[in-house]
Formats: sequence, structure tokens, C-alpha cells
Amino acid sequence: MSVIKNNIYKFLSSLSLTIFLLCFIAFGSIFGTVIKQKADVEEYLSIYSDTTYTIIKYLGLDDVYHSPWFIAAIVLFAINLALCTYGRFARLIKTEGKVALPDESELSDMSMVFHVGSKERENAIASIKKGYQTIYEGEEGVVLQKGVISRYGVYMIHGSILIILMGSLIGMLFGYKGFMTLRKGETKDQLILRGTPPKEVPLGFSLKCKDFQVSFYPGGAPKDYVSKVEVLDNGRVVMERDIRVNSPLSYKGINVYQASYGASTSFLFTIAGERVTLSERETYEKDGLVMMIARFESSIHNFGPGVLVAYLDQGEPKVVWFLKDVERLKEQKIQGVNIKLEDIKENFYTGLEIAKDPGVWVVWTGFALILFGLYANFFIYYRRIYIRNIPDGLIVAGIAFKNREGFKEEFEKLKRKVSGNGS
Amino acid sequence: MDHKILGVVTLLYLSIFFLHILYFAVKKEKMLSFMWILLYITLGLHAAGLVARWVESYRLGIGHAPLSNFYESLIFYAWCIGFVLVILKKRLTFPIITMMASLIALGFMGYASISSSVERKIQPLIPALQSNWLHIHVITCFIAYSAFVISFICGLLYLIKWKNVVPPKEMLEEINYRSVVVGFPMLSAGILTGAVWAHYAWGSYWSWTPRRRGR
Repeated sequence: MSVIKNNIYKFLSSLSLTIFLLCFIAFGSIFGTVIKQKADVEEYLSIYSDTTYTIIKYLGLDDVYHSPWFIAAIVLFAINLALCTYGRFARLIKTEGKVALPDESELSDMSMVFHVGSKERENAIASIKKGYQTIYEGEEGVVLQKGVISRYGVYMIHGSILIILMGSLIGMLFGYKGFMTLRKGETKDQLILRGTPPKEVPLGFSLKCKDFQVSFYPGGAPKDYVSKVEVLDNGRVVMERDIRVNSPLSYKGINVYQASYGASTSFLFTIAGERVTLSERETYEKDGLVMMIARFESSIHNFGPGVLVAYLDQGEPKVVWFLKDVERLKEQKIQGVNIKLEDIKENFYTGLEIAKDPGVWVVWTGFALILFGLYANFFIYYRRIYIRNIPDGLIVAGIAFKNREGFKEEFEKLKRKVSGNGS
Repeated sequence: MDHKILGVVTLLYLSIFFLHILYFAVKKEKMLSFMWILLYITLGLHAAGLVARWVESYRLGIGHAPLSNFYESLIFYAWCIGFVLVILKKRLTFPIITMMASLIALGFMGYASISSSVERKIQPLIPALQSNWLHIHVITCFIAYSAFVISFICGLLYLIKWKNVVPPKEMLEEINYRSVVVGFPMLSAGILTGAVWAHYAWGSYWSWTPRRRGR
């Protein structure tokens, strides 16, 4: 039993698994980059054939980063990384505790070594110790070290990758990403989560769009999208802000981003003396009258804009055109009810991306740690200096595991300084 | 104004390249110190060209650092290559490396000013790019790319044996290591700042499109 366990551990912490997984993840990411993700079926079918689309759908290539095989690879990678790191770290800790001063012959075999006469002994030890940390001091000599943090650089980098993965997992489990469209003056407290089918969920507070403006450069390129938004919590205005593309709004851990904009048309009717504003595809139902705005055309045979209204006549669907600029067709009776098309309004709406990501600070911590780890790993290096008492003075030897060239220079300088003290 | 300066800069990169060829023909050590002086002048003038473009963009009322479109990226890339050469100067005792690097810089400058597919006019910044993160992100990335240009050259030279022209293998390895040590953390920082920016601007760390926005 323990043999199997051992083998599983060996497999999960092996470097070959790491290499395989990294290649696998990279390969999956290629599909995720080349194939458009989370698009509509129509869009895929306009690019790919039916068979190709079936394969794409079956393998989850239309949403690679949420497909089970990709997530499984990431989880396996996290386990692999954690085990590897743990194994190496445990070994480091074990050797860290043991500091041994090699004997004289071993020291004189080292590539960087020099001798100090017995007269200068005290001065030499004092000046070498400067800037170094003493990790062992005894009768027979001293062991010094510097740049110990660089030995932990690798673990910081590995650890921070795990932290970043954890942060994104937190975001995936406890956060969401959705959107909301708001017309000028409109207030909403629900956002729509993407997916099939899209789902409406409460936001916890309301957003009111007070104004929306798009400005363009003289050449026609977009310059700025600004939504003037009010945040209402329990009916009270708690915040008022302009949301721009690079300047989101943040309230109660939920971020609201300026994502898009568009125009929608609304239709002002007077139905049996009552003013009603309807938008496209919206249904109106009252006192047995059921009608819906089926279609809008901005121009019908030079008669101006028109609205196709669908209604039910004793269960039978029927349609009728209302033309705004034609007196006779502006006001009509449907099932005896007087209906008048008063106005057609084109209004801009703002598209807001709404995201909650409680893992974001975990991810940022991981980012900071990874940068520090890279710095520690590449720009600081670990070196040790051994000083041993010998009958006619001292023997000083140095060793570095990285940047040997750099340490050689430093060691030569030290040698000159120490011998300079003596003369 | 900026186009004129950058035109001169392109010619200077060409002269640096020819100076190397001349050096290999006559082998006068003095030429190398002259080459370095010329490289400093070129780099300074190149920076002046970038600044002139920056100033010009403000005159047009669409002021932004010249780091936004493909043309500006190429020009900045070439500048970064020169900058990395200056940083590594102490180790670049074999002129073959500076020669190849100046050829690559010349290639970028030339492509930027000749190709018909490169828009050379100063364009306004689209809303997505209007952020201070732009500078941090682009600068870290391009310094990394330029460091990788040097390691690319070292890798290439590693395959060639040419006494007294190509540096010994240990030296190539050392220079390669140095440039990767600069490039790798810088690229990491570039990717991370990109993710921070993307999350700040539109709520996701990374959008899996080949290029988020056309440069």
C-alpha cells in the first residue's frame, strides 16, 4: 500500500509532470486564443463547418478556460508545484540548521582563498565581518553569510504562483461578472450574468444613469465615454460619480466599468388617454388588450419612421403599422381602444460591466511577492565566507553558488582591504 | 519635426553598422571608441525625436506619450535596444554584438519609416489606452523585448565559430545570462502591470484575444 502511495507522490511531484502540464496548458491556451471564446452559435457557424463546431463544442474549445480538462490541468499543476516546492524547501531547512566549518585542507582547496598573518588576526576578522551576518562563531573560527534572502527567492516565486491561483479561484467561486444597460434617467437594481440562458440577479443596490455622453476626436475616433451615475442604497443617494473607461466605480466590493454604449429607441403612445412609453419587443397588456412593438423602421417608403405593432385579436395574432408623420396612420383603433403614436425617441444607453472579485487583493499580493521573489532570485546572491584559525594566523575562504564572477571581484576587494590593514 | 529627427537617427544607425564593417576590415581600436560615442549621440538624438513627437502631440491637442500605435512601438523598441546596449557596455567587448544589435535597430527604424502598412501620423488615444498604466506597461515590456534581442544575438552567435570575431562561449553565456536576468523579470513585470491595468480598466486580468487592441 505504501509503495503505491510513494509512487503516486513521486509522480505528482515529478519534474516530467510539470513539463507535461506546462506544455498542455500552453497548448490549451493556444486554442483559447485562436478560437473566439463564449461567442454565439451563429458566430461559430459563420466561421466553422457543422462538424468542426460539434468538435469545438464537445471539447469545450469555445470556453477553454472554464472547461473541465483545463481546470483539471491547472489543479494538477498547483498540486505538482506545491509538492515540488515543499520537498525542496524541507531539504533547504534541513541543511540550513547545519553550519559546519570545513577543515584547513578543505578550505585551502577552495577556488577563493587567502591567508592572514597572526599579527593582523583581530583586525582582519573585524573588517571581514562588516556587512556580513555571523552564523557560527567558535574556538576554531567563524562562518559568515550574506544575501540569504536569495535562497528563498524560488520559494517566493512558486508560492506566489499558488497564491495567484488561489486568488483567481476565490474570484471564480465567490465573485461574478455581468452587465447592465442603462438608459438616461433609468434606474436598475439587477444585473445580468452572461451564460445560457442569461440570468438576472440582484445587485444589492441601485444604479441610476443621470447622463451619458460620448465624445469624438475630429478624425472620428472615440475620445471619451462618460456615464454620470448615482448609487442608491435603500433609496438614498450614497454616491455620485462619472464612470469612464479607465475609471470604474467601486461600491461595496462591486466594481462598475464603462464597457460599451449603444442607441435604443423608445416609443411614446397614448393608449386610451394614458401615456405609455414602450421599447422594442416590449409587451403592453391592459383590460384585455395585448399588444407588442414588433419592429421599428426609421423610414418606410418616404413616409417617415414607422412602428409595427402586433396584437391579439381573439387569440389570432395581427399586425398594424403606425406611421409617425402620417396623420391617418398615427392614430388608430385596436379592438376599440384609441391608440396614438406620439413620439419616437432615440436614446443612448450605456453598457456597464459589473464585476465582483473578492480574490483580487490575494492576486495583487501574489503579484507583489512574485516581483520581490524575482528580484531576490536574480539580483541578490548567496555567499559564505569561512574564517579558520590556523597556527600562523587565519585562513579565509569564500564560496558562492550563483554569480561567481561578481563574488570573485568582491572577494578580491576584501583580500586587498584586509592585507592593506596589516601593512 | 519629429520625422526629420528620426530620419537622421535612422541614418546614424546605418552609419554605426557600417562603422562596424569598416572596423572588421581595418581593425583600428580607436574606431570602436568612436562607435560608442556615435551610439551615445544617436541614442540622445533618438530620445529627442521621441520627445519632439510627444510635444507635437500636445500641439495637436491629443497629447500623449509616443507609445501608442505600431509606428511608435517600433521607434521606441529601437531606442530600447540602444539603451540596453549602453547598460551592457562593460561586457560588450566584442563589437559583433553591437553590430548585430544596431542592424536590428536599423531594421525597426527602416521598417517604421518605409512600410506602407505603418501609420506614421500621431493618432489620438482611444479611451481604453487613456491611463498612466500605459507608460509603465509599455516601458517594462519593451525593455524586456530589447534585452531578449541581445540574448537572441548571443544565442545565434553561440552556434557560430569564428575566432577573434565571435566571443568565446563562456563570455556569450555570461552576456546571455545578464540580458535574460534583465529581460525575464521585466517581462514578468510587464505582464503583471498589464493584468493590473486590464483589471482596473475593464474588470478582468486578461482577455484571451491575440492582441487586446491593435497597436
